[in-house]
Amino acid sequence: MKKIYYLCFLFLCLFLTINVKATISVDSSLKIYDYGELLTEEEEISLKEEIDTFVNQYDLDMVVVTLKDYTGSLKTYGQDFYDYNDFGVGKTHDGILLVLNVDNLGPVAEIVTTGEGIRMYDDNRISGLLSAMSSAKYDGNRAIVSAFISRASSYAKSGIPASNRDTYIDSNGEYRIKREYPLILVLIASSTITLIATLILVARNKMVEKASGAKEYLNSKTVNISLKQDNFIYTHTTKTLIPRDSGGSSFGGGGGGSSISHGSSGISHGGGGGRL
Amino acid sequence: MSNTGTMDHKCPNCSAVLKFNPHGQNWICEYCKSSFTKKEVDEYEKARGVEQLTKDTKEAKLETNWEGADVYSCPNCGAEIIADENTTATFCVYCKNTAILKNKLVGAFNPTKIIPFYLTKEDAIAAFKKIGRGKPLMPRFFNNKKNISEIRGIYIPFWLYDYSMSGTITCDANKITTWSSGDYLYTKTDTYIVSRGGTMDYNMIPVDGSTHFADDIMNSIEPFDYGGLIDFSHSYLSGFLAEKYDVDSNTASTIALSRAQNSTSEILKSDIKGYTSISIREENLRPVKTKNEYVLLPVWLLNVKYKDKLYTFAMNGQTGKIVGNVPVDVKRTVAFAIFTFLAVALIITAIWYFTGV
Repeated sequence: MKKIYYLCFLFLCLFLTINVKATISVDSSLKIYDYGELLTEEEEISLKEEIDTFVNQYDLDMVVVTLKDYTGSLKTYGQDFYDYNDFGVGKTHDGILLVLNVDNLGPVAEIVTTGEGIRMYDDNRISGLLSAMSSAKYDGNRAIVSAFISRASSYAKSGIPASNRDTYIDSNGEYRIKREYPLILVLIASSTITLIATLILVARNKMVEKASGAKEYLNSKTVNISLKQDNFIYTHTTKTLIPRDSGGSSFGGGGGGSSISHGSSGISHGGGGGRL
Repeated sequence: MSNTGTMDHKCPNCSAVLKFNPHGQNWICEYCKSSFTKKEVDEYEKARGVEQLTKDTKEAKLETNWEGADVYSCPNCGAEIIADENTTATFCVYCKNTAILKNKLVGAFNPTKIIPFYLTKEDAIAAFKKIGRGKPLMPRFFNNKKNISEIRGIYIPFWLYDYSMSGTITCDANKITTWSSGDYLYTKTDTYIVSRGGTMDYNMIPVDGSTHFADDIMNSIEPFDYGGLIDFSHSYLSGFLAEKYDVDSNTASTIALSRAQNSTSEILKSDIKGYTSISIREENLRPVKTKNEYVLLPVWLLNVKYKDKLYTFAMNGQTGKIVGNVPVDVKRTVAFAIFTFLAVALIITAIWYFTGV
């Protein structure tokens, strides 16, 4: 029995260790966390300057994390890293985070957006950021990060994309779609129901009606239906094309708003990633 | 009296005029407060020679004719009573005495049966006062008793028809099935010619035999409980107005037959089941046996004057079913429409707001 308790304790310690490792506490002012040692000190300094410029200009935080041969989920890592540290601007922690992991197959990037960052970087722009980084991958890791900052700045400068104009971030940081009051629908439905109800009540006042049948005077015991013939004549079949909805979007295309997922903290995040 | 052409029923105790009492189904003397059964009234009338009176009145009836109206003498006060040619029971405008114009109820105009009044004038007024129930758009004071300008209990002449109907109907019928396969929606229509035929009996379809009363109103107070039909006796007319028919049996039968044909067609059609759509191509519906009867049925007629407009209501004097077209109050209708519109808009808005639908 003691062995079982011991094993349970060991598993708990292992779990906590992993969790602590994933949500390591950092100084949120550094902005660049080169755990994968993919950047030189000079590169870090110059990139930090670019990030500071971005943060000052656009009211969005920006964080870059590098990893080496990380095998877990970059998305989960990035979301937890952002959520369990003091990142983000304002109450809704607006910002964007890049996780850059390099393994033996090359660089893999994961972008995590939070708060207004979700609105600023819709799926289309996430695809654009990945594309920009992919183009820069042969110029080294610094170039990848720099391309990310540069393209992110460019997008932020152009403002919220059209696909997210009708969205907002609520006080809990949730990405919401603005709903327009369905005025026409309300007017049509209310008018129709009012008309029907009024006609029903007006009809109640009309109590006089000419009789056309005599069912009340039918002796039902005398009803004898002796002839029943059902003769098949012909058949015909028609076929029509079923209209299909040609809409829908896949990753990086279409610009239909932002795809949302929730981190372990429960906070909403946008973003996306892939091998560069 | 033999020259008046009128008759009434006298109280065996005090010789005052007797009146039929719908609630008690007996005859009462309002003067000495006596009441009599049908048997007692018949025996007394026979004893005083009413049968002989009938013969006399036949000769005396058209003693005076005044521009299409017959003039009679009131047996009670001697005043002149003017009645049109279809009136068979009326009142003296001076002494309110009942005058049964018996000479008009002979031969072909003698009804075979009658349903006596079971409900009184007070019942009719009470029913009218309740007419606003379930009618929120009725003007507020429309059903006030003071709007009743006239109320009359009238025995209306009705023809009752029995039909044994035989017939067939032939219909075009379709069975439609749909299914999808791949990108296509398929619709298969199987067309049939369907026939149904049979027989059925209708008993006592009523047709109003007087042109003085609107057919639709008379239709609307149906049905009467024919279990209440009894052999006709003039005694039941005491205290009420009565008419004789001016729509002959042949004319009325076309209306009754049309009703029987419509229902026969409907019943045969209702036997056709399992089809998506049915349309009648041909029908042959005929009566194989008919019978008719001339009866008097009790109706309370109310004339209601509201804002200088006259409205007619009728109450079945046996069952109490009251009908008539009630006016619609424009202000109430507008208020109801606005309220309903706002309430519905509010409910839809609340659903939209709270559920996100």
